[in-house]
Amino acid sequence: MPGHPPMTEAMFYTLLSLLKPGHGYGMMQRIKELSGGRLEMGPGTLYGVLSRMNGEGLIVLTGEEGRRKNYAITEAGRDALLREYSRLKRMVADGSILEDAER
Amino acid sequence: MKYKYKFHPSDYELGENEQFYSDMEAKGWKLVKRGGNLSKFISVEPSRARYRIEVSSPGFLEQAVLSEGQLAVYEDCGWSYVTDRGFLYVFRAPAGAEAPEFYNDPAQQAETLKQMKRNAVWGWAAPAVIWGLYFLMLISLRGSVKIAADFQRGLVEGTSLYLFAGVGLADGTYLTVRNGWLISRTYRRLKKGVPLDHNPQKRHLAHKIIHRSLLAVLALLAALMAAQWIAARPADLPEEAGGPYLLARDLGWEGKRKTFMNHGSVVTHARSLLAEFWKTEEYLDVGPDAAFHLCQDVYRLRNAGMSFWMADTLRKTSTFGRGGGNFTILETDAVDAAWYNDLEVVAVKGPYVACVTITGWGREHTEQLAVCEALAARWDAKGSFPPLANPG
Repeated sequence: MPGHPPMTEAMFYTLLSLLKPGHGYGMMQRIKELSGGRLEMGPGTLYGVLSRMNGEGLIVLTGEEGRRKNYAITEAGRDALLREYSRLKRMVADGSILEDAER
Repeated sequence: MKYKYKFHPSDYELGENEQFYSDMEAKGWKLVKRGGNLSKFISVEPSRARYRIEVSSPGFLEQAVLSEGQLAVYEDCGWSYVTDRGFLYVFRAPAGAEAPEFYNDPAQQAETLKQMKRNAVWGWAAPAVIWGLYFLMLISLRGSVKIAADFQRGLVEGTSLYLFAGVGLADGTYLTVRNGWLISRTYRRLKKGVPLDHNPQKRHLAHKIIHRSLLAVLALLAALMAAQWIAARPADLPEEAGGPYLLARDLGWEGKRKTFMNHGSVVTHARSLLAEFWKTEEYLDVGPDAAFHLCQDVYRLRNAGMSFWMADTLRKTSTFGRGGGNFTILETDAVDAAWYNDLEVVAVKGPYVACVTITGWGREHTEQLAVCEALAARWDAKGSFPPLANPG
C-alpha cells in the first residue's frame, strides 16, 4: 500500500500490546503472551520501537510512574494497526492456495 | 573491602568488554565502575554473571545518555545497571536470570552504533590535525630558519619530551585507526544480521603487544622527563667551574657577582638522551662605569658527529646572531671551528659545542680568541675542571 510500508513484527506486536495502555516491561510480558511465547522482545528492541512510534505519532506517552513511562496507542496507531492486520489477512488468504496444493 | 583496577578492552570492543567483566566476576572481582582505560572491581565471592553493553546513540551535540525510561525497561527485564562511561552503559544479570537479550534484530542494534561509529571516524580528525601541523612545521623549516633551529635545539635539550610526543602521537593514531576499523566491522556485521558475539574468543595478542609496548615506552619517557626536570634546577654559580663552562675570571675578569634585572649568577646542569648541557649566567660588578655579563650554553653531545650540526643550530638561535647570518668565521687552532659576532662566540671541539655571550659596558669586545682558548683548555681537561690560568 503506497505511503504505508509493512510493519515490522516488533512494531505490530508493540501496537497490539498497547491496545491496553502500559509501560515497557508490561508490554514485553503482553507481547510474549499475545504471541504464545514465540516472541520475547528485548528491551533494546522495544525501546527503539517505542521511540520511533512515539516520533511517528502512533503511540503517546500518557504518564510516568517513577522511572517507568506509560504509553497508549493513538488513533493514528490504531488505524495503522488495522491496516497492517488487513494486509496480513489478505496475505494469509492469498497464501491459502498452498493448502489446496498440499492436498 | 578490597578493590582492584584493571585495564579493560577499548570502548569499540563490545563483546570483549562483556566477556571481560563476566570473566572477572568468575574470578571474584565484580565491576564497580568503568573509567577511561581502567575498570574498578570489588572483591566478591566468585559467581557467574552475564554482562551486556548498551550503546547510547545521541543526536548531534546531544549528551550520550540513556534515558531514565530506557534504564527502567532494562531493569524491569532483569538487567541491573552497573556503570557507564562515554557511549557505553554496562548492565549485569546473574547467571540463570531470565533477562532477555537487548535486541531481537541485529540490524536494529547496528543503528545504536551509528553515533559511536561517527565518533570513531571523526577521531581521525585530532591526530590528522596534529600530523598536519607537524608537516606544516617541517615544510616551514625550509623557509623559517629560526623555527627549524628552535625545533632542533629543543630536540637536543628535550629529547625525551620530543620522543614522548612522537610515541604518544603514534599510539593515538594507531588506536584511532584500530577503533574506527573495529566499530565499522561490528556495524557491518550487525547490519547483515549477524548477532553481536558476546563471547569472542579472539585474544587480540598483536594489539596488546603493540599498545602495551607503546604505553610502556611512554611511561619510561615520562619517568625520564620527570627525573631530568627535577635534576635541572638552577644552582648558584660556584667559585670553581663544576662543568665544561667558563667563569668570568677564566677570561681575566675579576669582580663581585651581582644581580642583573633580578637574575643572579646561576648554572643549570641538565641531561637529555642526546646531550649533557650547562647553561650559565654570571654578572660581575667590575667598576663604577663597567659591567661584565657572561652567559653560556655548553653542550657535550653523545655523538661528536653532531657537533657541527649543533653549532649551526646555536648560531641560528643565538640572541644576536639574526638567524645565523650575523656570524663570521673565527680563525683559530684552539678549537675545531668557531664563529663570532660582536657579542657572541660559537665554538666546537670534539663532542663539545658552546655559545658564549658576553655583554656589558665600559670595555672593549676583544674576548673572542680568549674565549675559544679558554673553552679548549676546559674541554681538554676531559671531566675535571681545574681553574684556568688567568689570561690577564
